[in-house]
Amino acid sequence: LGYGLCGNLVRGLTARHTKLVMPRAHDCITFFLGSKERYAQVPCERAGRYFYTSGWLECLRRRGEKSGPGDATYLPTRAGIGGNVREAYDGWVKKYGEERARYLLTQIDKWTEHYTHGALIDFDFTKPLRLDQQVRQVCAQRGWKYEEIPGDLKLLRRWLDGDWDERDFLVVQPGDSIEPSYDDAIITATAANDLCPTS
Amino acid sequence: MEELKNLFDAVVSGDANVARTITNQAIAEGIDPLVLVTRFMAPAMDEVGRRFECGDYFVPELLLSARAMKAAMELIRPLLTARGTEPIGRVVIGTVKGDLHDIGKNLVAAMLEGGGFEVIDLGVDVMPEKFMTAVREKNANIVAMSALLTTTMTSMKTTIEAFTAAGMRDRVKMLVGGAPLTKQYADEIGADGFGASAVEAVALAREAVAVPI
Repeated sequence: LGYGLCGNLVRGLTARHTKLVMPRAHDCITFFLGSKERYAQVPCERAGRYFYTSGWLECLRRRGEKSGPGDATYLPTRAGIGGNVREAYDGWVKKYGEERARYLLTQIDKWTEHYTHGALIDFDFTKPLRLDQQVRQVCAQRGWKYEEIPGDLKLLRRWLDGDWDERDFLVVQPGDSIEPSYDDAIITATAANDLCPTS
Repeated sequence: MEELKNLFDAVVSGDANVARTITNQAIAEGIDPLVLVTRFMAPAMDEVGRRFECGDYFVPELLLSARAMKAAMELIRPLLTARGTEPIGRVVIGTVKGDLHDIGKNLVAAMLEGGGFEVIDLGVDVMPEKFMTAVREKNANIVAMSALLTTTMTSMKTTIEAFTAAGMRDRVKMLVGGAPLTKQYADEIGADGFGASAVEAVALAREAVAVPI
Protein backbone atom coordinates (compact mmCIF):
# COMPACT_ATOMS: atom_id res chain seq x y z
CA LEU A 1 0.00 0.00 0.00
CA GLY A 2 1.86 3.04 -1.27
CA TYR A 3 0.40 5.45 1.21
CA GLY A 4 1.40 7.19 4.38
CA LEU A 5 -0.85 7.74 7.35
CA CYS A 6 -2.03 10.78 5.36
CA GLY A 7 -3.83 12.72 8.08
CA ASN A 8 -5.25 9.48 9.48
CA LEU A 9 -6.91 8.72 6.17
CA VAL A 10 -5.83 5.06 6.28
CA ARG A 11 -6.91 4.61 9.89
CA GLY A 12 -9.09 1.53 10.18
CA LEU A 13 -8.18 0.23 6.73
CA THR A 14 -8.39 -3.56 6.95
CA ALA A 15 -6.47 -6.28 5.14
CA ARG A 16 -9.15 -8.82 4.27
CA HIS A 17 -7.50 -11.65 2.35
CA THR A 18 -4.19 -10.17 1.19
CA LYS A 19 -1.52 -8.72 3.44
CA LEU A 20 -0.76 -5.04 3.11
CA VAL A 21 2.73 -3.64 3.29
CA MET A 22 2.96 0.02 4.08
CA PRO A 23 5.90 2.27 4.89
CA ARG A 24 5.90 3.76 8.38
CA ALA A 25 5.30 7.23 7.04
CA HIS A 26 3.16 10.22 7.86
CA ASP A 27 2.74 11.00 4.19
CA CYS A 28 4.22 10.52 0.74
CA ILE A 29 7.05 13.01 1.32
CA THR A 30 8.71 10.22 3.31
CA PHE A 31 8.85 8.17 0.11
CA PHE A 32 10.55 10.99 -1.75
CA LEU A 33 13.04 11.77 0.99
CA GLY A 34 14.01 8.15 1.54
CA SER A 35 13.29 7.68 5.25
CA LYS A 36 11.02 8.87 8.01
CA GLU A 37 14.06 10.04 9.94
CA ARG A 38 15.11 12.37 7.16
CA TYR A 39 11.57 13.68 6.85
CA ALA A 40 11.37 14.24 10.59
CA GLN A 41 14.42 16.47 10.45
CA VAL A 42 13.16 18.61 7.60
CA PRO A 43 9.92 20.03 9.04
CA CYS A 44 11.60 20.58 12.39
CA GLU A 45 14.07 22.85 10.75
CA ARG A 46 11.38 24.78 8.95
CA ALA A 47 7.67 24.40 9.50
CA GLY A 48 6.69 26.63 6.60
CA ARG A 49 7.93 24.51 3.76
CA TYR A 50 5.69 23.45 0.90
CA PHE A 51 6.95 20.46 -1.08
CA TYR A 52 6.80 19.96 -4.80
CA THR A 53 7.66 16.80 -6.73
CA SER A 54 7.62 15.99 -10.42
CA GLY A 55 4.56 13.78 -9.95
CA TRP A 56 2.63 16.50 -8.16
CA LEU A 57 3.51 19.10 -10.77
CA GLU A 58 2.63 16.73 -13.56
CA CYS A 59 -0.58 15.40 -12.09
CA LEU A 60 -2.10 18.85 -11.92
CA ARG A 61 -1.63 19.14 -15.64
CA ARG A 62 -2.80 15.59 -16.31
CA ARG A 63 -5.94 16.28 -14.34
CA GLY A 64 -6.70 18.98 -16.86
CA GLU A 65 -5.72 21.97 -14.77
CA LYS A 66 -5.30 24.90 -17.08
CA SER A 67 -3.07 26.79 -14.74
CA GLY A 68 0.08 25.88 -12.89
CA PRO A 69 0.48 24.63 -9.34
CA GLY A 70 0.58 28.17 -8.00
CA ASP A 71 -3.12 28.54 -8.67
CA ALA A 72 -4.31 25.31 -7.13
CA THR A 73 -6.72 25.46 -4.22
CA TYR A 74 -7.27 22.69 -1.78
CA LEU A 75 -10.93 23.02 -1.11
CA PRO A 76 -12.98 20.00 -0.22
CA THR A 77 -14.46 18.66 -3.42
CA ARG A 78 -17.86 18.42 -1.78
CA ALA A 79 -17.96 22.18 -1.94
CA GLY A 80 -18.50 21.58 -5.61
CA ILE A 81 -15.43 23.52 -6.53
CA GLY A 82 -12.57 22.22 -8.60
CA GLY A 83 -8.91 22.64 -7.93
CA ASN A 84 -8.58 25.87 -9.85
CA VAL A 85 -8.79 29.27 -8.25
CA ARG A 86 -10.17 31.01 -11.32
CA GLU A 87 -13.04 28.52 -11.65
CA ALA A 88 -13.76 28.68 -7.95
CA TYR A 89 -13.77 32.46 -8.02
CA ASP A 90 -16.13 32.62 -10.99
CA GLY A 91 -18.48 30.22 -9.19
CA TRP A 92 -18.41 32.37 -6.05
CA VAL A 93 -19.11 35.56 -8.01
CA LYS A 94 -22.22 33.93 -9.45
CA LYS A 95 -23.33 32.63 -6.08
CA TYR A 96 -22.39 35.40 -3.66
CA GLY A 97 -21.48 38.46 -5.74
CA GLU A 98 -18.10 40.00 -6.42
CA GLU A 99 -17.30 41.55 -3.04
CA ARG A 100 -17.88 38.33 -1.13
CA ALA A 101 -16.09 36.27 -3.78
CA ARG A 102 -13.03 38.50 -3.38
CA TYR A 103 -13.11 37.99 0.38
CA LEU A 104 -13.32 34.21 -0.02
CA LEU A 105 -10.34 34.32 -2.33
CA THR A 106 -8.23 36.09 0.28
CA GLN A 107 -9.31 33.58 2.93
CA ILE A 108 -8.68 30.51 0.81
CA ASP A 109 -5.28 31.83 -0.18
CA LYS A 110 -4.36 32.85 3.33
CA TRP A 111 -2.48 29.66 4.13
CA THR A 112 0.22 30.69 1.67
CA GLU A 113 1.13 33.58 4.00
CA HIS A 114 2.23 31.19 6.72
CA TYR A 115 4.57 29.32 4.41
CA THR A 116 8.01 30.67 3.78
CA HIS A 117 9.66 28.16 1.44
CA GLY A 118 8.75 26.21 -1.67
CA ALA A 119 10.92 23.12 -1.87
CA LEU A 120 11.37 21.04 -4.97
CA ILE A 121 12.36 17.45 -4.29
CA ASP A 122 14.43 16.77 -7.37
CA PHE A 123 16.06 13.62 -8.71
CA ASP A 124 18.71 13.12 -11.36
CA PHE A 125 16.09 11.70 -13.69
CA THR A 126 13.72 14.66 -13.22
CA LYS A 127 16.39 17.33 -13.68
CA PRO A 128 15.96 17.45 -17.50
CA LEU A 129 12.32 18.47 -16.93
CA ARG A 130 13.56 21.77 -15.47
CA LEU A 131 10.84 21.69 -12.83
CA ASP A 132 12.76 24.25 -10.84
CA GLN A 133 11.54 26.91 -13.27
CA GLN A 134 7.91 26.14 -12.43
CA VAL A 135 8.51 26.05 -8.69
CA ARG A 136 10.62 29.20 -8.77
CA GLN A 137 7.73 30.94 -10.49
CA VAL A 138 5.26 29.83 -7.80
CA CYS A 139 7.66 30.96 -5.11
CA ALA A 140 8.06 34.37 -6.76
CA GLN A 141 4.27 34.75 -6.89
CA ARG A 142 3.80 33.86 -3.28
CA GLY A 143 6.84 35.52 -1.84
CA TRP A 144 8.41 32.23 -0.77
CA LYS A 145 12.06 31.33 -0.89
CA TYR A 146 12.89 28.64 -3.40
CA GLU A 147 14.93 25.66 -2.34
CA GLU A 148 15.92 22.32 -3.72
CA ILE A 149 16.13 19.10 -1.77
CA PRO A 150 17.75 16.06 -3.32
CA GLY A 151 15.31 13.16 -3.44
CA ASP A 152 16.09 9.64 -2.31
CA LEU A 153 14.23 6.60 -3.59
CA LYS A 154 15.74 4.12 -1.13
CA LEU A 155 12.50 3.55 0.76
CA LEU A 156 10.46 3.12 -2.41
CA ARG A 157 12.99 0.66 -3.75
CA ARG A 158 13.00 -1.40 -0.55
CA TRP A 159 9.21 -1.38 -0.50
CA LEU A 160 9.11 -2.78 -4.05
CA ASP A 161 11.99 -5.24 -3.46
CA GLY A 162 10.30 -6.83 -0.47
CA ASP A 163 12.95 -5.59 1.95
CA TRP A 164 10.39 -4.95 4.66
CA ASP A 165 12.38 -4.24 7.78
CA GLU A 166 9.94 -3.88 10.66
CA ARG A 167 11.46 -0.56 11.64
CA ASP A 168 10.46 1.05 8.37
CA PHE A 169 7.50 -1.01 7.20
CA LEU A 170 4.29 -2.30 8.67
CA VAL A 171 3.00 -5.62 7.42
CA VAL A 172 -0.73 -5.88 8.00
CA GLN A 173 -1.85 -9.49 8.06
CA PRO A 174 -5.30 -10.48 6.81
CA GLY A 175 -7.80 -9.76 9.55
CA ASP A 176 -5.83 -6.81 10.91
CA SER A 177 -6.34 -3.14 10.33
CA ILE A 178 -4.12 -0.07 10.36
CA GLU A 179 -4.15 2.27 13.35
CA PRO A 180 -1.99 5.30 14.13
CA SER A 181 0.44 4.57 16.96
CA TYR A 182 1.15 8.23 17.86
CA ASP A 183 4.83 7.49 18.38
CA ASP A 184 7.95 7.06 16.25
CA ALA A 185 6.56 3.87 14.72
CA ILE A 186 3.74 6.03 13.25
CA ILE A 187 1.41 3.09 12.50
CA THR A 188 0.51 -0.21 14.02
CA ALA A 189 -1.73 -3.16 13.14
CA THR A 190 -4.58 -4.29 15.37
CA ALA A 191 -7.22 -6.99 15.03
CA ALA A 192 -10.04 -5.58 12.90
CA ASN A 193 -13.32 -5.10 14.74
CA ASP A 194 -15.61 -6.26 12.03
CA LEU A 195 -14.32 -8.24 9.09
CA CYS A 196 -17.65 -8.81 7.43
CA PRO A 197 -19.68 -5.65 7.73
CA THR A 198 -23.15 -6.05 6.37
CA SER A 199 -23.50 -3.95 3.32
CA MET B 1 -37.54 44.94 16.79
CA GLU B 2 -39.09 43.40 13.68
CA GLU B 3 -36.47 44.85 11.33
CA LEU B 4 -33.76 43.32 13.50
CA LYS B 5 -34.78 40.00 11.99
CA ASN B 6 -32.77 41.32 9.06
CA LEU B 7 -29.66 41.08 11.23
CA PHE B 8 -30.35 37.39 11.70
CA ASP B 9 -30.80 37.03 7.92
CA ALA B 10 -27.66 39.03 7.15
CA VAL B 11 -25.54 36.75 9.32
CA VAL B 12 -27.13 33.59 7.93
CA SER B 13 -26.65 34.75 4.34
CA GLY B 14 -23.17 36.10 5.08
CA ASP B 15 -23.78 39.74 4.19
CA ALA B 16 -21.28 41.72 6.26
CA ASN B 17 -22.30 45.14 4.95
CA VAL B 18 -25.96 44.70 5.84
CA ALA B 19 -25.05 43.22 9.23
CA ARG B 20 -22.90 46.28 9.97
CA THR B 21 -25.55 48.76 8.82
CA ILE B 22 -28.36 47.20 10.86
CA THR B 23 -26.19 46.94 13.95
CA ASN B 24 -25.19 50.61 13.65
CA GLN B 25 -28.81 51.64 13.30
CA ALA B 26 -29.92 49.52 16.23
CA ILE B 27 -27.20 50.95 18.46
CA ALA B 28 -28.17 54.51 17.40
CA GLU B 29 -31.78 53.71 18.30
CA GLY B 30 -30.66 52.68 21.73
CA ILE B 31 -31.34 48.95 21.44
CA ASP B 32 -29.48 46.89 24.03
CA PRO B 33 -26.40 45.46 22.23
CA LEU B 34 -26.60 42.28 24.28
CA VAL B 35 -30.08 41.69 22.85
CA LEU B 36 -28.59 41.90 19.36
CA VAL B 37 -26.15 39.15 20.26
CA THR B 38 -28.42 36.80 22.19
CA ARG B 39 -31.64 37.22 20.20
CA PHE B 40 -30.31 37.56 16.67
CA MET B 41 -26.62 36.89 16.09
CA ALA B 42 -26.10 33.81 18.23
CA PRO B 43 -29.28 32.15 16.88
CA ALA B 44 -28.11 33.08 13.37
CA MET B 45 -24.78 31.31 13.94
CA ASP B 46 -26.70 28.32 15.30
CA GLU B 47 -28.73 28.27 12.11
CA VAL B 48 -25.53 28.49 10.05
CA GLY B 49 -24.18 25.55 12.04
CA ARG B 50 -27.35 23.59 11.48
CA ARG B 51 -27.20 24.16 7.73
CA PHE B 52 -23.52 23.10 7.71
CA GLU B 53 -24.36 19.88 9.55
CA CYS B 54 -27.16 19.14 7.06
CA GLY B 55 -24.82 19.65 4.14
CA ASP B 56 -26.65 22.75 2.88
CA TYR B 57 -23.72 24.98 3.80
CA PHE B 58 -20.04 24.44 3.09
CA VAL B 59 -16.82 26.17 4.08
CA PRO B 60 -17.38 29.27 1.88
CA GLU B 61 -20.77 29.94 3.50
CA LEU B 62 -19.29 29.47 6.97
CA LEU B 63 -16.52 31.92 6.18
CA LEU B 64 -18.98 34.53 4.92
CA SER B 65 -21.36 34.16 7.86
CA ALA B 66 -18.46 34.33 10.29
CA ARG B 67 -17.30 37.56 8.64
CA ALA B 68 -20.80 39.09 8.85
CA MET B 69 -21.03 38.12 12.51
CA LYS B 70 -17.60 39.58 13.22
CA ALA B 71 -18.48 42.84 11.45
CA ALA B 72 -21.43 43.29 13.80
CA MET B 73 -19.45 42.12 16.82
CA GLU B 74 -16.76 44.73 16.23
CA LEU B 75 -19.39 47.42 16.78
CA ILE B 76 -20.98 45.70 19.75
CA ARG B 77 -17.95 44.49 21.69
CA PRO B 78 -16.68 47.91 22.84
CA LEU B 79 -20.14 48.72 24.20
CA LEU B 80 -20.34 45.46 26.11
CA THR B 81 -16.84 45.93 27.49
CA ALA B 82 -17.61 49.50 28.52
CA ARG B 83 -20.55 48.45 30.63
CA GLY B 84 -18.70 45.48 32.07
CA THR B 85 -20.78 42.68 30.51
CA GLU B 86 -18.86 39.46 30.94
CA PRO B 87 -18.69 36.99 28.03
CA ILE B 88 -20.01 33.48 28.76
CA GLY B 89 -16.43 32.27 28.62
CA ARG B 90 -12.94 33.20 27.47
CA VAL B 91 -11.27 30.93 24.95
CA VAL B 92 -7.61 30.94 24.07
CA ILE B 93 -7.38 29.32 20.64
CA GLY B 94 -4.48 28.40 18.36
CA THR B 95 -3.00 25.94 15.90
CA VAL B 96 -0.36 23.97 17.79
CA LYS B 97 3.40 24.14 17.47
CA GLY B 98 4.78 23.07 14.10
CA ASP B 99 1.44 23.42 12.31
CA LEU B 100 0.52 26.33 10.06
CA HIS B 101 -3.02 25.45 9.00
CA ASP B 102 -5.69 27.78 10.18
CA ILE B 103 -8.86 27.73 8.10
CA GLY B 104 -10.51 25.30 10.52
CA LYS B 105 -9.17 27.10 13.56
CA ASN B 106 -10.44 30.45 12.24
CA LEU B 107 -13.88 28.99 11.67
CA VAL B 108 -14.01 27.61 15.18
CA ALA B 109 -12.90 30.99 16.54
CA ALA B 110 -15.62 32.79 14.60
CA MET B 111 -18.30 30.31 15.63
CA LEU B 112 -17.27 30.62 19.28
CA GLU B 113 -17.39 34.38 19.06
CA GLY B 114 -20.85 34.15 17.55
CA GLY B 115 -21.77 31.86 20.41
CA GLY B 116 -21.01 34.58 22.95
CA PHE B 117 -17.44 33.71 23.89
CA GLU B 118 -14.52 36.09 24.02
CA VAL B 119 -11.90 34.57 21.76
CA ILE B 120 -8.19 35.20 22.08
CA ASP B 121 -6.70 33.91 18.84
CA LEU B 122 -2.97 33.15 19.09
CA GLY B 123 -2.64 32.22 15.41
CA VAL B 124 -0.56 29.31 14.13
CA ASP B 125 2.55 27.43 15.30
CA VAL B 126 1.72 28.21 18.94
CA MET B 127 4.15 27.00 21.61
CA PRO B 128 2.72 25.54 24.85
CA GLU B 129 4.18 28.48 26.82
CA LYS B 130 2.29 30.94 24.66
CA PHE B 131 -1.00 29.19 25.43
CA MET B 132 -0.18 29.33 29.14
CA THR B 133 0.78 32.99 29.11
CA ALA B 134 -2.44 33.91 27.30
CA VAL B 135 -4.55 31.95 29.80
CA ARG B 136 -2.87 33.76 32.69
CA GLU B 137 -3.09 37.21 31.13
CA LYS B 138 -6.65 36.95 29.88
CA ASN B 139 -7.95 34.79 32.68
CA ALA B 140 -9.32 32.34 30.11
CA ASN B 141 -11.25 29.24 31.10
CA ILE B 142 -10.98 27.30 27.84
CA VAL B 143 -8.00 26.36 25.68
CA ALA B 144 -8.87 25.23 22.15
CA MET B 145 -6.15 23.58 20.07
CA SER B 146 -6.14 22.73 16.39
CA ALA B 147 -3.87 20.56 14.19
CA LEU B 148 -4.15 19.33 10.63
CA LEU B 149 -1.17 17.00 10.53
CA THR B 150 -0.43 13.69 12.20
CA THR B 151 3.10 15.00 12.62
CA THR B 152 1.95 17.96 14.71
CA MET B 153 -1.06 16.65 16.62
CA THR B 154 1.32 15.31 19.25
CA SER B 155 2.01 18.96 20.18
CA MET B 156 -1.46 18.90 21.75
CA LYS B 157 -0.26 16.27 24.16
CA THR B 158 2.84 18.32 24.92
CA THR B 159 0.72 21.39 25.55
CA ILE B 160 -1.62 19.58 27.95
CA GLU B 161 1.41 18.17 29.76
CA ALA B 162 2.89 21.64 30.04
CA PHE B 163 -0.32 22.90 31.65
CA THR B 164 -0.26 20.00 34.09
CA ALA B 165 3.41 20.57 34.94
CA ALA B 166 2.73 24.25 35.60
CA GLY B 167 -0.18 23.40 37.88
CA MET B 168 -2.60 25.13 35.52
CA ARG B 169 -4.47 22.11 34.18
CA ASP B 170 -7.41 22.42 36.58
CA ARG B 171 -8.19 26.01 35.83
CA VAL B 172 -8.98 25.41 32.14
CA LYS B 173 -10.95 23.03 29.97
CA MET B 174 -8.79 21.88 27.07
CA LEU B 175 -10.56 21.14 23.80
CA VAL B 176 -9.03 19.71 20.63
CA GLY B 177 -10.02 19.43 16.99
CA GLY B 178 -8.65 19.03 13.47
CA ALA B 179 -8.95 16.61 10.57
CA PRO B 180 -6.67 13.80 11.85
CA LEU B 181 -8.00 13.95 15.43
CA THR B 182 -10.19 11.29 16.98
CA LYS B 183 -12.15 11.08 20.21
CA GLN B 184 -9.90 8.21 21.18
CA TYR B 185 -6.75 10.31 20.80
CA ALA B 186 -8.34 13.20 22.67
CA ASP B 187 -9.11 10.86 25.57
CA GLU B 188 -5.64 9.35 25.45
CA ILE B 189 -3.89 12.70 25.84
CA GLY B 190 -6.29 13.81 28.56
CA ALA B 191 -8.19 16.48 26.66
CA ASP B 192 -11.57 17.52 28.03
CA GLY B 193 -13.30 17.35 24.69
CA PHE B 194 -12.98 16.67 20.98
CA GLY B 195 -15.05 18.43 18.34
CA ALA B 196 -15.33 17.06 14.81
CA SER B 197 -16.58 20.38 13.42
CA ALA B 198 -16.76 24.09 14.22
CA VAL B 199 -20.37 23.56 15.23
CA GLU B 200 -19.48 20.83 17.69
CA ALA B 201 -16.77 23.07 19.07
CA VAL B 202 -19.38 25.62 20.19
CA ALA B 203 -21.47 22.92 21.88
CA LEU B 204 -18.36 21.61 23.64
CA ALA B 205 -17.31 25.05 24.81
CA ARG B 206 -20.79 25.75 26.15
CA GLU B 207 -20.73 22.45 27.96
CA ALA B 208 -17.30 23.30 29.35
CA VAL B 209 -18.56 26.50 30.94
CA ALA B 210 -21.84 24.80 31.86
CA VAL B 211 -24.11 26.87 29.63
CA PRO B 212 -27.22 24.98 28.52
CA ILE B 213 -26.88 24.03 24.84
